[in-house]
Amino acid sequence: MKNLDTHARMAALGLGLGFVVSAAGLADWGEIHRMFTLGLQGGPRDFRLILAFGGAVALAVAGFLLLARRDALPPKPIRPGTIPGAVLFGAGWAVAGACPAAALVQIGEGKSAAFVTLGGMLAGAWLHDRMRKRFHWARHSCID
Amino acid sequence: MTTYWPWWTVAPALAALTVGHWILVRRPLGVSGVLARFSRVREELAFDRGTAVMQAGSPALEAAMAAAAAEFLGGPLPDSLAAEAPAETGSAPQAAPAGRECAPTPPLSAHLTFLVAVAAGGFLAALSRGTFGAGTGDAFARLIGSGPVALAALAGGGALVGFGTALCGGCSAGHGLTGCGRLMPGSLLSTGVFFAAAAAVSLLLGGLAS
Amino acid sequence: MSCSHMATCPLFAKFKMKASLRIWQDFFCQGQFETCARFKLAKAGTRVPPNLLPNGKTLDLAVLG
Repeated sequence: MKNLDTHARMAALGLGLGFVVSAAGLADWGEIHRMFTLGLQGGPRDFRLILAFGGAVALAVAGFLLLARRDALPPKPIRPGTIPGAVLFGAGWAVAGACPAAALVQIGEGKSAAFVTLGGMLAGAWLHDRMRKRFHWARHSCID
Repeated sequence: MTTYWPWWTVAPALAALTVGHWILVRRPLGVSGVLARFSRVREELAFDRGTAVMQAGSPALEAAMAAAAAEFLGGPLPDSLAAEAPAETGSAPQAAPAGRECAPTPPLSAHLTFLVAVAAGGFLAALSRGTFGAGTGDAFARLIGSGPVALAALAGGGALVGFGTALCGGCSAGHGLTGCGRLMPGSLLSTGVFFAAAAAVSLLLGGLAS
Repeated sequence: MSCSHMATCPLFAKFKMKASLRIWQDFFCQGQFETCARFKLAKAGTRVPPNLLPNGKTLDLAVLG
């Protein structure tokens, strides 16, 4: 019964995240490109997604302070892989038009090409794990 | 032109999901780590089995742990500690912080439910807009291309995302929303850097196409 | 001074719950946490096996499961 409860909560949270990401246009290649070009390249200046993201962070900071101030979330310190990893992630996001959540949403939206994107993400994660073990890099996951 | 939500609707929705995820399952919201588990299923299943046994707390487990404790104590547990009475929270002088603690890693099946649900959420949203099955759009076609070039870009970009998120330890949700929401230094730096990198590449793509 | 990983360590949550397990907590988590095998692995950036005890002993899951 306890496991069913976990599944139900994960399902609810996943549905919510997927719906919002889709409704926000965060799984739309054109919208993502518009966000990252900061209104600097042709077209009308549109900071919709930048404001959405910035606003979400601000509200999340407030929400955590109000509702979870003394809670112990896993820490995320700066580590050797932080900057290089972020550079690769950002570059990939701009090209593929999807972060991991968005790739899943795109599949749900019927954009079948996103299966390729998702496959690429799994391959990239697999490769990282292999290299991490081979070269004894630090593990950054907060999965466990 | 698809109509998407205004920023002042998206922002509270994402924030609610970020904080709500923590409150509901005591796990930080994040997708890249969850997805990465499925690139090494066998290892993750073994890890889950280990976690389940340890969390189940059988008498055999406690006996084994008591025996192991005896090894480093140099003798059996004192009778006062060997009693089966569970510790009351707060009865011992604990330096542990008050408030919620992180739950153990959920099993792979629960994480699969999560990922499928994210896709399902996208499905419902697309259905509500009547845009199910729409392609990657004009901007992508203009800036990247179509056919094999497009697929190669998606695969390559995806690989960069998969590798990069594993290397920096999070994605737009894990670092961008949760990590920044808690003002974690690693997340603040990651988010700044991945936004900058994405902006640079996007501007480059736009510049190349024109 | 106590271990900075207490809140996320799945074993710590288990230790808190039973009096007979608190000896681990007293000795390691709130004592010599730098000697804890789990702490050392986590600090090194290696995945911590669920059945690793702070004193370095690995519980045999086949027997317990």
